[in-house]
Amino acid sequence: MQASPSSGDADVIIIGGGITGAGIARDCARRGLRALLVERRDYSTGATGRNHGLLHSGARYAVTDPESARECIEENRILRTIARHCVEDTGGLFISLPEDDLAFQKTFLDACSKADIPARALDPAEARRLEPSVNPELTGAVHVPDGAVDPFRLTLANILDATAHGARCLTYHEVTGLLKEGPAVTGVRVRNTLTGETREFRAPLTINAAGIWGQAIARMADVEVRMFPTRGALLILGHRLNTVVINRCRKPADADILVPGDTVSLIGTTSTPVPFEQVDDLRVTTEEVDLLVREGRLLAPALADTRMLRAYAGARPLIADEDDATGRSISRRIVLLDHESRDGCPGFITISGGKLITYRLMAEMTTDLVCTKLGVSARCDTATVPLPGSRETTAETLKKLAALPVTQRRSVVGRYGDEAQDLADGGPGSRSLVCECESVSVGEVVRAIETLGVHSLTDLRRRTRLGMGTCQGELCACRAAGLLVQEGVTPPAGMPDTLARLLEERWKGIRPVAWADALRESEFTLWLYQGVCGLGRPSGPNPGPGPGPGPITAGSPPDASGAMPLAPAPNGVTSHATPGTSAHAPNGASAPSPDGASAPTPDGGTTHARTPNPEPSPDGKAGGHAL
Amino acid sequence: MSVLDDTGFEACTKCTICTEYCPVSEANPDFPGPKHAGPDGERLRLKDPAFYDSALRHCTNCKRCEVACPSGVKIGDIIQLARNTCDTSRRPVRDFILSHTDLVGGLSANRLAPVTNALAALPPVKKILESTLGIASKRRFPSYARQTFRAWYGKEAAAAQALFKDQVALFHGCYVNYNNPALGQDILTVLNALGVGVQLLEDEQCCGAPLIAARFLDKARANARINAASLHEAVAEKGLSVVVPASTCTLTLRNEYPDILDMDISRWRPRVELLTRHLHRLRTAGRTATLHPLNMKVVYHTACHMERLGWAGYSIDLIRQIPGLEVVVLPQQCCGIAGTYGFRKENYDTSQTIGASLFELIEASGADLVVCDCETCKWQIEMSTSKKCEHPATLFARSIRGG
Amino acid sequence: MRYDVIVIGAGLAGLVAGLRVLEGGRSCALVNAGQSALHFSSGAFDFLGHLPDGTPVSRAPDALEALADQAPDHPYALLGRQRTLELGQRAEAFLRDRGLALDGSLAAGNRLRITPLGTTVPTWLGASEALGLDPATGALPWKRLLVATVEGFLDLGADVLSSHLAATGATTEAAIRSASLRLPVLDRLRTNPSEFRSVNIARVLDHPEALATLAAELAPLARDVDAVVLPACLGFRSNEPVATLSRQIGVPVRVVPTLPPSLIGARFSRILLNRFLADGGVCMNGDRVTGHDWNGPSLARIYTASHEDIPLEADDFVLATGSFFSGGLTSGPHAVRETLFDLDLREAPQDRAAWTSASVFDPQPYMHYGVRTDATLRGQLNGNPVPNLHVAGLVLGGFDPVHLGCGGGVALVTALAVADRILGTKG
Repeated sequence: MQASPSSGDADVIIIGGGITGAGIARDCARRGLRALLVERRDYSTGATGRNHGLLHSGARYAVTDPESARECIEENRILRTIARHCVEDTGGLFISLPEDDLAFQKTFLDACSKADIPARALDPAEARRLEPSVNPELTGAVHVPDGAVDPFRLTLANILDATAHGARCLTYHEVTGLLKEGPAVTGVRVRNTLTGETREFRAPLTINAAGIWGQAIARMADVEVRMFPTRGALLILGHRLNTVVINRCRKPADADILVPGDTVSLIGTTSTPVPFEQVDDLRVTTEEVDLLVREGRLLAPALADTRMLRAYAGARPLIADEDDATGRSISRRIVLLDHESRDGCPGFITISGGKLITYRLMAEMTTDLVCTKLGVSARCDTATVPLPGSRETTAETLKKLAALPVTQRRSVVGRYGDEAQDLADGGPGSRSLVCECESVSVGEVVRAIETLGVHSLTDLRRRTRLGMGTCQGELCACRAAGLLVQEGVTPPAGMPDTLARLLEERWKGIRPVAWADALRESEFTLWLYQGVCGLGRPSGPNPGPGPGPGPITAGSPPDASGAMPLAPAPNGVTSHATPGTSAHAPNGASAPSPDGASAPTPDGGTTHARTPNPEPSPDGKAGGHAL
Repeated sequence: MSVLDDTGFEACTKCTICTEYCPVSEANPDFPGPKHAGPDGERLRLKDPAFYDSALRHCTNCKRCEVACPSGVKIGDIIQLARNTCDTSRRPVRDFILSHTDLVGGLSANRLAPVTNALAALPPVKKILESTLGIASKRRFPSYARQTFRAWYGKEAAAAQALFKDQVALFHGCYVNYNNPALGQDILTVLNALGVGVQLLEDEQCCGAPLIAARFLDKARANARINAASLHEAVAEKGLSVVVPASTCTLTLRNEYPDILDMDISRWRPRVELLTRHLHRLRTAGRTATLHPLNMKVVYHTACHMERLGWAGYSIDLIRQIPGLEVVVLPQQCCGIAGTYGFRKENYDTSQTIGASLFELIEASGADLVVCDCETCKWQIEMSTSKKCEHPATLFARSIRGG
Repeated sequence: MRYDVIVIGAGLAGLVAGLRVLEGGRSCALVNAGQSALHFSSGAFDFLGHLPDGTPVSRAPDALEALADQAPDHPYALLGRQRTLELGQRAEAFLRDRGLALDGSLAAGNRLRITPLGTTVPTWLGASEALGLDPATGALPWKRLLVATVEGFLDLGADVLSSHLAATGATTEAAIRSASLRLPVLDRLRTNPSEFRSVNIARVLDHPEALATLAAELAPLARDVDAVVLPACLGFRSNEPVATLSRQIGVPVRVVPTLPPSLIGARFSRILLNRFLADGGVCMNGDRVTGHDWNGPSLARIYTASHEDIPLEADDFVLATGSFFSGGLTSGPHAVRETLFDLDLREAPQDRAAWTSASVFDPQPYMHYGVRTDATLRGQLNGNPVPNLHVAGLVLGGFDPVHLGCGGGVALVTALAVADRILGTKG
């Protein structure tokens, strides 16, 4: 490792703990830079955690955006090696229905071939055998190497590797301002949202990887990055309806991707512009739900009778074309802005656009620019070195955990890969389940609290899947809250609020689908917590489960599906995009995810003061944990 | 449609009521309980069948979880199907012997039965059976008859039964055939008193309940095909109703064939029913018999599969017609035997723990007799209490005969 | 099959209605589609905890007039204050006569029960072994408390309970000690790969030898306290083990009911059901109604999943099927209906967005939905009462049982009211 190229608190400060920020932190740290990542909430709380979790083969973009398609298939291959434990090799089908033009299939196959995407036409009977849930009326299908990727695991694995290489990663640290010397950005001013404490960090370079919130960060540097938030709504189904990703073989549209991910399937998405004021509190409407069900049943008819667990929406951090007021001309490509050359603002870089699965490429591009600026010559190795968790085979790890009950053994290896081996020997009681839906044990929860930086029940959920199953936290919430108290994360007096915040967050996603069994379950939850347990609303004025709103959350890669390319690159833009034609591609191929990620709080404010999270840790754990 | 093809498991609201009514959960901490083994596990197994937990073998398939479930989830069926599709472990010889009731019954129910019965009751023999086969030595084995019911019927009854204008067919089951032909004779007494003659099916095999429990599915299917053909012939070709004395056989024929073995039995299912339910129909149609008082007190025990059928009311109503008889219905509770489950060495203690509080209630009841529609419950109750246990038809026949 | 009365639903309302008609000499069958919501209750019955405007109620009898003003559709308002109170008082005796050990009365006013989070909730009748505040003083009846939990049992944290009890002013933090009981007798259960539940624990601890080890571990810890508080994980079949433990350690023992399944609620359900059987009732467990025939304006018979073509006939039917959870009400994406007979509902908008509130802690409109009746509590079809279809419990509309804290009272009062009407003694 070479000597640090700069003085100050870090060589590079990364704003945003989404997949992009995490990937940059990893790449920078591995190249010997002292990296500091700050995230206003928890990891993966922006668009990273609010997408399909689709490991794109690139086929979706092959016709409309060959460049993106090629990026996707290359990164798809890389992630299958370096992030094995975050990826499921499901394969994908692009199906044609009677109302679709079957001639498009030929165009599609040709385009896949040009982009080097292995694609093979199947007759309807073969497709039905491969995926029994597929609409039996299909007239044709193309098989492609789509898959599923768990964005929470992927982000965390990047963070773990970054910290193992010396990066500091601080969650619940919100950027309240940028430090400037003349035109240059020289660092950040942050506030610990759990304790209210503020501090400053200095570094020669600051990277804005804050996703849709990056526009506000850029304004702090007095530069203008016009983002254009579009919301994508998705539904989570109660179980794995399909085992193969199902897409429509046509120009991308609403609700035309059904992705199996872990224990559930996800249908999405929509694509509608959303005002900036709403990006912190996106709520799915009944109309959106009805549309997703209506369209989704065309992919797999059983979807209409399948229980819905929740609905959620994410905002794609798309960069608006400076000249287009309508927002139609928006790039979903990777956009790397060097504000020194573009705006005369040294020390400040913005990375945005892209897709969940191209995060590594985005991180490499950004880190290359950082290294150039800092005069560091280290080469990127993130395409070949496996992430923590993907270093040994599943079979090897399973063998080490032979003593665990099978459902727990398989679950933890699925969630943590080879990192799960710490769970091999737990004391008595460590195998009791906290969350029976997702098989999350006491031992797993305690390990997450001890090693994965957990400050609340929603943080725990992102790391373990606790509360992501059928009952949406109904029974496990109380037990997990008890463990947070036992492990010193939450003081005893804070337990009801911790619980109340989780329930409020879960309800936000359940409410749009609250009919039939979901309504029954909701009534049961209400009886339990408000009846039996006498739980009331959280005492603080902050109704959200998170510590509060604020400008910074890492963004995630948006989708490139067919949007218009970025207009001629302004000064200093390293645009990875080549112009394409593209019709609107509604689906958010971007990153929306397997869960309704955490709930932002409805205030959307940026820098004004908020009530600190009333569940700070008594032992200094609050915020800024070191991984 | 088999249970796994539908998504009924999603109606589970995780209320956990089933765990409270699961007799195995109460007695065996190795069992993860019906909720986790059933609907929760099903979601995981849909992700990857490797999530199958071999602890599901502890389930006795009593189906009390299904009765307790307020969401209509077929929890027991989900567990059975998961065992059938995911469990690839080898089955011991013992399980073969316990589950192949036809084979063992055929070999034992003959003139040598008294010798076999005496041998099987000898402690040294039982020890050997336990150490070599894993059959619980503390368990009292049911004794075999000297002559099967079918053999008796063919010789002694067939001609007379054919004289009745109205006829039903009887699915007698292994127990009546090999162990207790006297119950078969009681059934004839009761039905004849109501003016109905009894025929046997063309061919009858074990219904398959013990085979399904021990995962001998090929044999279960083979039996089911033969039984289905006989039942179809009786119902569709001869226009007969078929009566079944045992609750487990009834449940297996009517529910497990379609739900677990995925058979279409819609042609004969409505006409195949529990004996006491058919007796209710005859009574409703105005058929009555002259009953003599039985001045005694009985307690009625609802077998698990009877509870699942929901038909205990027919048996209770039947014996409540008997003058002089005091009938008290015991609280719904498993006796612990669960068919062949309690005969396995490793399950003996669990089995007795499950039944313990029922045995206490029976002893404390002051009853002269226990009444139950299930023969394995009878064995368990007779072995574990001081009371005899009889089928409702036996009691009813006694009242018809006058004591 | 024919009975004088068929009760559909075996929750609190169905069981009490069934027991009462048996007492009145009628034959009765209970059709029970799975176990009831009583299994999740706290083991306490509330009568009226709050008025719709949020005003806390300390004495229900004094609040019924205000309730009638604010919620004229509430079953209490339909029955009238005097009748409601008379039925409520009868319910107290009725339940005690049938073996439920309950403290409290309408005359004494609301008591405060203590939840596993340490909060207090107004209640009417509480299991006598459950921890509650002294109604007279609003404090705990004891000065020095030991809160003992079971190691590995996550449903009740001793620290959480203590800190909230102190915060309510019921006691002081200094007066409460907490302990976590090791209880090696539970170790085998601790390795069970499922939730470490109160019911499973109770089924171990209720055995006399296990109870003795609990007493042995607890006794030295309890030497200088006035009472011991445990999570409700003792006493599966009766509350006898709690009393035994108390005798063995020499100080009063109180329990705090925890997450479902509720040990006390389930025990209450079992006691009432067994009593129903003992009194000669017929129970059709795990069965559900699938069809029915009308006879003019009346209900002639019902058909069920188990009985298929054999109908169940009765002179009177009681509909006590509960709310959405229990299946009495059904919702699709754009409609709410009464599940079995499509009876008239009080309100049931088609717009799904109107069923719920944005915050889970705001009253949820769907909780008010339910069957419309007049003071006779008979179900209606197109505004016409069905003469022999009586409605009781949470399937009734016009009230939010959680927000008002009145679910137990409504179930008991309406069950006795419909049984009276069937027996011809009132109404």
